[in-house]
Amino acid sequence: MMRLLLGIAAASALLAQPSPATLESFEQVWKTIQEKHWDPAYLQKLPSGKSWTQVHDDYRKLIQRADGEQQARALIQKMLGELRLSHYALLSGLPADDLEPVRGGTGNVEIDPMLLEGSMVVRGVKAGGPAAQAGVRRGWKILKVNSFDIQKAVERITQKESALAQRELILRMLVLGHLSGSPGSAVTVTFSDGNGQNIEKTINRKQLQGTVSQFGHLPPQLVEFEKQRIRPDIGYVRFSLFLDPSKLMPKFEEAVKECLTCKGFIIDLRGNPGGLAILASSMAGFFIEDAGAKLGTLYQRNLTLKLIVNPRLTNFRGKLAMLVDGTSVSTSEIMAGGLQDLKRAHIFGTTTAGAALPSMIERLPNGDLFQYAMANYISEGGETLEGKGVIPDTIVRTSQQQLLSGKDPVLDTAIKWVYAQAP
Amino acid sequence: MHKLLSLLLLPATFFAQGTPTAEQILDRYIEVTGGKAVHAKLTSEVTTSVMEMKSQGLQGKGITYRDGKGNSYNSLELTGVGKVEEGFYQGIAWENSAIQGPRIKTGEERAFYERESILGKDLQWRKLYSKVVLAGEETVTGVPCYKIILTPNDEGKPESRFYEKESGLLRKTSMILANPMGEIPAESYMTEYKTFAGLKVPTNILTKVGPQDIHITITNVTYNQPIPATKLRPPAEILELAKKQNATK
Repeated sequence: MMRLLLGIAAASALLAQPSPATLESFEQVWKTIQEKHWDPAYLQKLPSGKSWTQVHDDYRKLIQRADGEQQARALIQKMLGELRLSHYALLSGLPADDLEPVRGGTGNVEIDPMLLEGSMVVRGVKAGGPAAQAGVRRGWKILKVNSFDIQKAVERITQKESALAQRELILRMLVLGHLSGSPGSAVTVTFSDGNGQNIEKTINRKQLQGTVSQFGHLPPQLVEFEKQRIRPDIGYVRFSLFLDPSKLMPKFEEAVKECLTCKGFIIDLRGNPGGLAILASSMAGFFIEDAGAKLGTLYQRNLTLKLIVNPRLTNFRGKLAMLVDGTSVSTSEIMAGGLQDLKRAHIFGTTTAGAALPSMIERLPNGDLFQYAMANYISEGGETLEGKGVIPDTIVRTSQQQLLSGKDPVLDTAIKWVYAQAP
Repeated sequence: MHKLLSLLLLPATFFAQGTPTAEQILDRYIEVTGGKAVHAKLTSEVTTSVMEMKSQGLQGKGITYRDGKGNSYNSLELTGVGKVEEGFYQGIAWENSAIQGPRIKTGEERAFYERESILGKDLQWRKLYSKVVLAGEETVTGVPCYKIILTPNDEGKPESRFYEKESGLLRKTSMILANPMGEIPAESYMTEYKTFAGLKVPTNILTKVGPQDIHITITNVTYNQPIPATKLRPPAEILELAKKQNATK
C-alpha cells in the first residue's frame, strides 16, 4: 500500500513539472526576443541592470523547478516583464488570477465603462440597448457584476499597477469581460447612483452588433462600428478595434464620404485597444491630400519602415478631432499621435496608454500564444510613444457629476472646437 | 616542351570548362526549365497558389494572370485582411486593398513590377538587364550554386540569383524591394520544381521579408489559354487615380 502511495506521489510530482513543450516554449520566447528585438544594446542592459542572457539563465533554473505548467507560464510572463515594454505577453487562455479579463461571450449589456475618481463608472449607455432599457444611467458607479466585486478589483489593481493608463485599460477590459456572456443570458449588476444609493439591475445580454474578425492566431473578435451625425454638420465614428479591414474600411470610407461637406469630423478612440498598425495610416489617407506624409517610422533590427499615408481619391478637408484616454492603445495612439504631429488633427481627452509598439503573435510549441514587439515606433515628431503616450492638445478630464448630468465633456469640447475653428 | 605547356594550360582549361559565364548560366536555366522554343511560344499564364505565414497563423489564396503584352493581374485573398490586388496594365503599375486603398506605383517600384509582369521574362534577360555578372559560388540550403548579379536596364537596383551548379535550376533570389514604406530586403528560396505544359516551375517558394517568413505553394499553372480582358483591367478607382495623377503632372 505504501509503495502504491509513493508511486502515486512520484507520478504526481512528475506531472507537476513543466512539460518539455513548455521548456521548449520558454526557449523559443527567449530566443525570439534575443534575435528580433530592434535594439541589441537594450538587451545588453535591461532596466534592471541585467542582460537578457542573464535573465535567460536565471529563469531557466526557476522554470526547471516550477511546480507545474501554470507556474512555468507565470515565470515566462515574469521574464517578459523584465523587458519593461508593452506588447510582450504570453497568451495562454488560462487567466493567472481573477483580475485578468476574460471574455464570457458575444453578448453584452451595451454600456461603456471608465475608471473615474477611483471607481468604475458608466461613461456611456447605448441608446435602446439592454442597459438603457433597464434604466441604467450615465455616471452611475459599477460596484458588482454578479458576485464579482468591481470596487475591490479597482483597489487591488491600483496596488498592483502603478501606471494610471494601464489601470484604466485593465479595469475597462475586466468590467466588459464580466458583463459579457451568452446572448440572452442575464447578468446582475449592482450600481451606485449619484446619491450613493445602491441599485441592483438584472439585465439580459444582447448579441453585440459587429463583424467577427479572425486574424492570424488572435481569437475571433467582434469589431463594432458606430457612425452618426453628432450635429447636422459634424460626423462622428467610433469602432472597437483596428481589425477586419475588408469590412471596417468600407464603413469608415462611407462615414467620411457622407460627411465631405461637414464642418468637422470626430474619431472617438476611447476604449480602442488597437489592432493592425497599418490601418492607422490607411484611415489617415482620408484626411491627408499630399503624398509623402507619414505617421511615423517603425524600426526593426535590420529594417526601417515608414508608416506612409496613401492619400485617397476623396478627402475630408474640414476640421478633424480625435478623442482619446488611457484606454486608447497601440494603433489608436499611432493614429492620434501621427495626425497630431502632421497638425491635421486636434486631440482631446487624457493621455493615451503609452503602449505603442507594433507586435506579432506566434504559436508556441506548448500551444500558448506569444505576443512580442517586432519594432520600435517613433512618431513623425521624433518621439517614442512607448511609456509616454499621446498628450492631447486639449486635456479634458471627466467628472462623475458631468456624466450624471448627461454630458460627455470630451466630446462636447471637441464639438465646440469644431465650431470655433470652422469658417 | 609541348607536353609541359599542355600541363601548364590544363588547370586553365579545366577552369574554363568548369565555370560557365553568367550568360551561359542564365541561358542554361531556360534550357533546363523547358527550352527556348517552349518559353518563346508562351502567350498567357495563369498561376494559382496558396500563401501561408505559419508563425502568425495567416493564410491566403492567390491567382496571377499574365498576358503576352506585358499586362498582369495578381490577387491574394488573405484571411482576416481581405483581397489585396496589384497589376500592371497598359503602363500603369497599381495596387488596391482594403488596407491601403488604391495606389499607383512609381519609380523603382513601378519598374520592378513592369519587369515582373512580362511573360517569359527569364527568356528576355538580355533585354531587361544591362549587366549580368557571375559573382562566385555559394551554398544555398546545402546545394552548391552560382551567384549572378543582374543589373536592370531600368532604374531598379541590382538583384542576385543563385542557380544550382548541378541542375541549373534557380534556387534563391535576393533583392531590395522598393516600396513607399522603405527599401525592404527580400530573399526567396525555390524548391520542388514541377512541370506544367512542358515548363518546369518552382512550386515551393519561401520568402523572408524582415522578421516574416512567407510560404507560397504553386498549386497550378496554365499556359496559352485566352485570358478575358476584364481579368487584367484594374478597378475603376485605379484608372481614375491614374487620370488624376496624370492631370497634375
